[in-house]
Amino acid sequence: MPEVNIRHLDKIYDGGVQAVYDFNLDIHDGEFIVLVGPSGCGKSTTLRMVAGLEDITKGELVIDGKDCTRMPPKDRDIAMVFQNYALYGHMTIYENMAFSLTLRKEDKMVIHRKVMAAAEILDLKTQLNKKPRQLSGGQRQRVAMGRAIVRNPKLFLFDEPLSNLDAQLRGSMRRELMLLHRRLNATIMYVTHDQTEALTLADRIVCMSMGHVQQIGKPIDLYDHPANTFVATFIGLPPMNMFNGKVEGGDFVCDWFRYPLDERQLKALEGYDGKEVILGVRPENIVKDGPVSLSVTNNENLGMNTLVHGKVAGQKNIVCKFAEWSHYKFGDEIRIGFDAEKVHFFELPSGEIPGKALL
Amino acid sequence: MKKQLSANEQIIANDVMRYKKNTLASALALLGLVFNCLYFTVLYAMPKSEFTTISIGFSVLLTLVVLLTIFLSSEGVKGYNKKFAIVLLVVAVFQILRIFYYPLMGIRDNLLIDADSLHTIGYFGYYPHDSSAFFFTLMLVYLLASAACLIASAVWGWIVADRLEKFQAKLDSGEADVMEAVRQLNAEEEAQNKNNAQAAPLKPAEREVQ
Repeated sequence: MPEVNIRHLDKIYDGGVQAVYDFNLDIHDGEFIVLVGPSGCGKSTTLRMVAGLEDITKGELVIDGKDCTRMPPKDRDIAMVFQNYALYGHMTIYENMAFSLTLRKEDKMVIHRKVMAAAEILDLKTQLNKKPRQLSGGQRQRVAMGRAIVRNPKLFLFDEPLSNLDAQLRGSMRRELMLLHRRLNATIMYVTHDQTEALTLADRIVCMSMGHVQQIGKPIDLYDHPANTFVATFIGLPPMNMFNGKVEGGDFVCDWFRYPLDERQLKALEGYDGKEVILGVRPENIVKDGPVSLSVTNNENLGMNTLVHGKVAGQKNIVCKFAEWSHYKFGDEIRIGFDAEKVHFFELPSGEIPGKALL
Repeated sequence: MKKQLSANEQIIANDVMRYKKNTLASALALLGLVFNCLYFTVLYAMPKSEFTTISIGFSVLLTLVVLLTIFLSSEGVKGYNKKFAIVLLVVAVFQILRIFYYPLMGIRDNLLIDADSLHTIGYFGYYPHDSSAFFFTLMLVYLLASAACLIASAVWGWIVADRLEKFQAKLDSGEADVMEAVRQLNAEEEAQNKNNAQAAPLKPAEREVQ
């Protein structure tokens, strides 16, 4: 499997709308890269530029040492799996999977071997004589993957392949995708807006917003050390709670509470005394019994944990995730605190630029 | 010369049939149907012939049955069904028997037809005005061609269906294992590719390095 180098990629559509700004990424051999971000952030456009379905306005795309920037899609040796499967309804599953090889006029014995090998990997052997309409959504998506696998491409591209499936099926398909990646040791670029998919599948995540790359890193890095307020709020479910405030005399002070900073935090916030910053804390890093008062507005027991929604000082909406089953009622007043090790600080966002992480 | 297949390759070649239709047998049957159509376009284009009697109605009915049977049988042999190969064979025999009715009757009795008023898609071009036998011979040729196609379709359909039946029995008994054959062939191919890569002559730049 090859390396993929994407350098300074820009996409500007006719009319001047820029969808992608200076996208840089080196994808290593066998790596699973997930592009994640909200709708319209440019992740699919980036993927389509790599596939050759969109022209690259500026920048360079190198696959396996070969410059593919202006190369037509068919010569890039890339296979793409789409959200809507894109299967041929009048063909059987076997014919669908064999189609690209038939077009290449490969020997029918070779085609058969490749199709059977892919069908075994994807557990589709018993479905090969059926038509796509006779299969479930998950099976159809597996067929679409099979069609990509038989080509043995240098790079697999997945454009939100699980978005059409129900939650349960999405979970099982995620596990299948992980197994598939391990089995094929394939280099994969995967686009999704679902952060669960991103966190569970990726070797590295590329988090995007408004055409800009916000952070590239391992899932745990994005989760534990978000580079800015956008990544902090986008990655993690429920999202991180953010409090706008000021650093004042060794404390973080906001409209709703005063939070004493420890030595590590003070060091990170050096030079910010008197300046406005944002304190971020994930719902699971909020602990019971602390200095902050929370007025409960909702209590959601999810079985393995409880989400408690409430208002800090009766004003600021936040959500807490407690490991144990809770039975709070609307209006209950509880005391909460923050796990000091897991509290984040950010600069204030400036216009559309998210606030940079300070700690 | 046709390449001799190894045991594993033979398994793969047979297994392909389980997922691909027998399009050759089907196409031959449909070609037989086309020749049959050409036959009746000539026959029914004879407005003032001796044949415009009540028997022509029966002939039309028969033609419709033959057309339908051939079409259904072509679908049958496409799906490797032996029974339809037999049906095609029966229809082929019937087509041959038909030669002995209208076409031969026309030639033998030297029936005259009004060639100028004969407009048919069954024949284009020059025809001899002095001999109506030309058209009856044409009908005979169409019926023979139809029968030949149907026989070829039936024979090929039977052979391939029989091969698939035997292969399926082998699969069911565990005598043949497709995935094992695929794995072994893939491993052989990989080894072959490795050998080829090792045996490949070095590029000038690589030679310099060495």
